[in-house]
Amino acid sequence: MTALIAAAKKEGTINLTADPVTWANYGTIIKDFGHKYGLKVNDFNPNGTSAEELSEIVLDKGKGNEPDVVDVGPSFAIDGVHGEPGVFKGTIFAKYKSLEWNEIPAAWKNSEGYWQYDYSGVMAIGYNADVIKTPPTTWQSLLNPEFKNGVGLSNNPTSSNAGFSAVYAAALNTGGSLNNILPGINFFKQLNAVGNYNPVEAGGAGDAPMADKTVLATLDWTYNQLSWVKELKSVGITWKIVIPKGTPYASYYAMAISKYAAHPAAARLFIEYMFSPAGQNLWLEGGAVPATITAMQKAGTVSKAAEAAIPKLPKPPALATNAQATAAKALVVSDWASAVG
Amino acid sequence: MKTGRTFRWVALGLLGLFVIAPMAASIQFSLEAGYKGRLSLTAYSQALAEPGLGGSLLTSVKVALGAMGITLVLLVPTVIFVNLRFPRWRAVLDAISLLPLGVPAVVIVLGVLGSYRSLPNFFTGTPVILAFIYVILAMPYTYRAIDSGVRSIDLHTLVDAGRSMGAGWMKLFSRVLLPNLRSGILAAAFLTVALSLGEFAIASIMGFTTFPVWLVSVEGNNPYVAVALSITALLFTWILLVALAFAGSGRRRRTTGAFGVEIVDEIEEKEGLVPLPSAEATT
Amino acid sequence: MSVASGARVKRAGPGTRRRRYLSAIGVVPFLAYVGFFLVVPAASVMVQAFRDNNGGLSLSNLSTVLSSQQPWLHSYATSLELSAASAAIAGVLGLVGTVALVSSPNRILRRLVTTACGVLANTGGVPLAFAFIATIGNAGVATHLLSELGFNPYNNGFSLYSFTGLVIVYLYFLLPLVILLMLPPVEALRKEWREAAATLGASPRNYWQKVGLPVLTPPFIATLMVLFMDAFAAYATAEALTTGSVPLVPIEIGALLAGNVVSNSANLGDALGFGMIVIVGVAGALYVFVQRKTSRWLR
Repeated sequence: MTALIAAAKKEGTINLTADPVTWANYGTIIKDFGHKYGLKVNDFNPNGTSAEELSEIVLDKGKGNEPDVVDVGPSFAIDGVHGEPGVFKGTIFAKYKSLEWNEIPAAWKNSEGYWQYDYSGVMAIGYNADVIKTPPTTWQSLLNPEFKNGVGLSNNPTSSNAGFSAVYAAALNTGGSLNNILPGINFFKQLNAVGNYNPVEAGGAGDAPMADKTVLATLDWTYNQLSWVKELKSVGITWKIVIPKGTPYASYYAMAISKYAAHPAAARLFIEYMFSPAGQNLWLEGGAVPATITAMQKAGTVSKAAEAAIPKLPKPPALATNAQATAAKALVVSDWASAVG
Repeated sequence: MKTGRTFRWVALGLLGLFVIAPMAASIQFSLEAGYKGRLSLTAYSQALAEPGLGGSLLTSVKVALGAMGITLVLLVPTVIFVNLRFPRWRAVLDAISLLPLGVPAVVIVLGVLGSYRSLPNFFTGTPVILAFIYVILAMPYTYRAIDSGVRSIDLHTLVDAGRSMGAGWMKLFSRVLLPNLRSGILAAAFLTVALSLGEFAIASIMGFTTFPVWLVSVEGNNPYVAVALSITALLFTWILLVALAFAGSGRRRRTTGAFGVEIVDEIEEKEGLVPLPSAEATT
Repeated sequence: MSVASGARVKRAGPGTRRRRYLSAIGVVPFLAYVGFFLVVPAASVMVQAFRDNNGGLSLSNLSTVLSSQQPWLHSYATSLELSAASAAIAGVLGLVGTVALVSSPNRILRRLVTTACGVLANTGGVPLAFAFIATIGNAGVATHLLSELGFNPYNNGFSLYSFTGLVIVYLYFLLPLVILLMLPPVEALRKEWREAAATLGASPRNYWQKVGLPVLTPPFIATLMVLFMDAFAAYATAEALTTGSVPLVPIEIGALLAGNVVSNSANLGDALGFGMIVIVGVAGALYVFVQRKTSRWLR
């Protein structure tokens, strides 16, 4: 570990990508990591997508802004090992197993060490408590007339994981399952039919629509809702979070090191840092449940304060396999516009 | 052209209302900064205090001016040439100039990065490449603007008159053609600079911190700051364009060239409506 | 209008033809630039449209795009309708605005307006979407005002977050473009022609019908083409306002090529992009045809 720190310091810089400062506490993470090891932390294309992250690894080689570490959705992590059809062939990740490797469940990592899940969020309803007096505790309550024109998604479900996950979460609680997302699409069709669905980007492009009351409730990851609570409080709006009754839906992101990283030691140090209790707690403070939480709870290294701030779940969340998710995504891509258009 | 005064004022008034209303609503939102009823400029002072503003602005301005330069150098001679020598191919080149609108930005970036990986880093690894790409993005508009200007003057008569007076191509170009094309060239310059100062997607994917990229990176913290920043960006772009416009207008110059003709380079009152040299030639 | 140097004079001799082709060298820089920075990059990506997910050559993506069971044809239709509607409305309103502007001789006003048009023609995306949300969104200033007066548009079928709403918002960046592009041709309508027509007994209406509009037609058609393609390619504004509820091709290409959800359909995304190129090609060919017809009498 000391050798790694020394090598990283020699490199002096680390290139991150697609880590928005308000997403899962990345703002603090970037500052803390930079301070602790005296490294310059770059975050290029901070609002980028997982697809762009992989493209950057392939296309930005040798340009100075090629990413060293990426944080991508699960299907993209798998592509990073096997190739993305139509974009690149073969593996673009480097193998690395951190000190905490064994604390991550087997289903949440690539057995050879190419990637591992880092943190997760649960789909939650956030709402403007100044306007909505009764908390929407169920999915059906979003259909109430007080939400007229007021229920929004973070972004387009065909291109945004948060948007897609909202539809998946709805499916789990309206008669569907991880293998059947159609009821979820139909729920939004119904929401639109009663006039409650507002298609603006409510979260994906900042919280201005929530601040000016265009949108009264949104569906987004717990960690994003927590950051909206903070931001909107500072501008006088009480934003509250509710995990609706029923089956919660969770999704993890996966972290991987680029095969062509310009700063390989710094990249590995970042992984070590983020999977150590210090780093994992930083994610927890942002409202994102870290991958090693069970081990941390056993060892007593988890931050109790951060844990308390996360809304309690009615039951353990559902996690989709890659196959289930791929099929569900295909249906959303083909049916979304006709459902809510 | 005498059109009814009422028509003019009603038309301009409605147009003005349509343009100003959304801007006004945005500005009002940005001034609210969360305190009901109390307007304040905190969003603006917060926005402008964020680090990185100067550097990103400078990068964007350099890219914008570069793109403008390349556009003018590339397109003005081409358009003049086509209108002069190959008028039958005008429409074809028009159609070619519209091609960039048929290719999504993400495809252009992936394509440029993929195809030209082997080029030197100075070219593809610095914002220089942005200037070249922005020329393409702006081409549908800038080509049209310059072509529109060229077709509105009597190109052949100007060229014939100048040539028959013995002017060489360079003199013809700079003393006769360019001044007459001022409004078209300025329009093209405005469009390129404004596009460059506002383009976000390509700059972000390529990892350059231009002004729009910087804007998005700091706005996540506060909705009012986000809106305040975008309004500031528009204002700044406008000021830059106005500066360009005044720089692009010369003084009234009367030169007696070798062929004894008084050429008026700029008629201050009627931009774009320039009398033909032949009408004013005194031999 | 001069005839001499523009007309094609038949001259004998092979040397003349060779000279003509040589002098075509004037367009080479332009074509080379477009080739290098647009055609080659776009082609290198679009070629993937003809590959399937195993890397082999295949027309499966194209047949998916053209299939009636899939939503893509509907997206093309919606995109085309939106572009046509916004281009037509912007064109007509913009032309009226340009004529109104030209009649004002104030130089400073003209400078301010043309520079403002340059800025506004490039607005879009989230800031523009939010400006309209703040004005005529369901919680917008104008909406609130109208509700106080007793008429809430949102209770009467209107929504900013719809096809109609998008047309209105697109006008915001299309109108300034029309003004910028039509100013030179409108200005070139000589005052003298108007006066000459009047002395010959023509009414303003006759003037416009016989002289004004026909002269303006070729540049107007060219402007309409730019508006149409500009609206077709617009992406960020529609995404911010409707996040996919109005199916538009550029948004779908973005979702398949550069999104956070689908990671196995890049080839299909490229096929959709190829479709866009085909549309540009067809529109371009139509344009060349129409321009040659309407410019005939001017040459």
